[in-house]
Amino acid sequence: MTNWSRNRLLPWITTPLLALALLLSWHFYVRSSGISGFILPSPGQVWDSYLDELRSPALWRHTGATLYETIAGFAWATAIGLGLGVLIGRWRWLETTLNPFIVATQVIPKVALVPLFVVWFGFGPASKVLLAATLAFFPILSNTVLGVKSVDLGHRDVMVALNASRWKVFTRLELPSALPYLLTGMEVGVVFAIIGAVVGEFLGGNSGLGYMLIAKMNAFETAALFAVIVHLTIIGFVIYWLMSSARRLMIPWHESVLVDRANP
Amino acid sequence: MSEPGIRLHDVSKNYDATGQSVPALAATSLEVRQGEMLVLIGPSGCGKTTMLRMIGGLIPPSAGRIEVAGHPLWTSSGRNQDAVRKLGIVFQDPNLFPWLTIEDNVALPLEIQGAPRAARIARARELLALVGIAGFENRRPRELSGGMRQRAAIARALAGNPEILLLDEPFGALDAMTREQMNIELQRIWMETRQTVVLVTHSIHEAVFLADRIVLLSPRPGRIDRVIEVKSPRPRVAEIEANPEFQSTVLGLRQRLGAIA
Repeated sequence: MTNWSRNRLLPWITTPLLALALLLSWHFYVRSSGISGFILPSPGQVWDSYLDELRSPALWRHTGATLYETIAGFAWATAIGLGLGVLIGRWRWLETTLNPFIVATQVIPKVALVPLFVVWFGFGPASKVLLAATLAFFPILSNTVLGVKSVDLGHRDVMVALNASRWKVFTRLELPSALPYLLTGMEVGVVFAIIGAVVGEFLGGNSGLGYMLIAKMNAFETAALFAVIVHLTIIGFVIYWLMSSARRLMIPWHESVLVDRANP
Repeated sequence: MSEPGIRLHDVSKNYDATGQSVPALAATSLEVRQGEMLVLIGPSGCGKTTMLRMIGGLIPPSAGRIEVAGHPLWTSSGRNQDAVRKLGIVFQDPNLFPWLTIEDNVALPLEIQGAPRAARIARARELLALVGIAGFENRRPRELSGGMRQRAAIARALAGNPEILLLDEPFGALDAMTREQMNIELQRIWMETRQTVVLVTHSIHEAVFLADRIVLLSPRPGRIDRVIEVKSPRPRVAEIEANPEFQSTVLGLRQRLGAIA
């Protein structure tokens, strides 16, 4: 067996084996310790509960709410982070002017803003969208700034020599150069957006998977609580996978993609 | 006598380093004849790259006038588009855009001028054939060797149909064998296109092999030390090395370079 195919196949064997080992030790711990199902349900109970939840329309309604908040928040964060990042990366004075404020928005524990967002936007989805956007914004902004600043000076010389307009320099050079950085920021940002949406739902309103977690906790349905966590994990995986697929599709020329392909 | 390709009149350049002005190039006048292959050579710090970048319009001169194909390069309102359009530049690094295919890289100048796609691609293919890398149209720069990438960069510089081709140590990063091959290739391309060429190098051998005239610059501050005519007939071949006249030109240049460095 070649090195290449061994590296490629290995995770398909090790991942299920490790997962199985974890589930088995969980199962036998619950069995042998006699711990209450309210504290720690067995994997089997969680699985049954998850199957029940999957059949109920409530889970899908809450999933829809959380997904909407995540995606809307992420879209806002991307639009503003990209736009502002391009401007800040281009103009040094703007960075100097805005930097204290951007840092300020980052050092505030953003969860502390939730009550304010609720006061402003109520218990509906808008306040959660805002929290998701606030969390996702910074990694997208800072990576875009880095990307615009990292444009190769030799590439810039080419555009100067060709007498390219500002717009052409932006669309043909700065944007494609910054794209790998932007996508990295978006990969981090989308995970933050999920966190923002779920935490927002903890603290206000009556919909979303975050709300569902609190409801299950209050009802002492610990197995269902686990089921929602499993559900959120799966959603996180799918969203992350979509983002990294976007990377492979959008920047197939970039080192980060080529390296992955060379060493899968 | 036809219009000179490039004319420098008392052109000088100072760089500002921590408050004080450091002269990189003293007031220099030079005419590059239309269609000639002129090589700038000199020890490091002699201002040869500064001179080329000024001719290319990448940096403005501190004083003096530059004319490109009869047009002043700098006017009161900035770079003169009529002059810049006449120039094609090849840098030491190929500076190809990694996200574009070779063909799109070569067609970039035409895209920036707003040429339709079909015309751009047709021209790019023609140029790729000229520089000897037909068949690599749809590859990305990373998939090509260093020499092939520099060929693509030359093709890109030619895409806008410039009257003047400027090359800044274009083969400096290549291995000796590829470099020799690229010199022969550049001569062939130039004999087909007959542009005015200004090439910066620090290889004496490359200078004598390629040049109609060699301009030797001395450092601190940069100034023209002497101008040497090379009269060997073209096309010159690798075996020219055995030619006593070639050897004596190389030797003379080497001795002078040693004296001024």
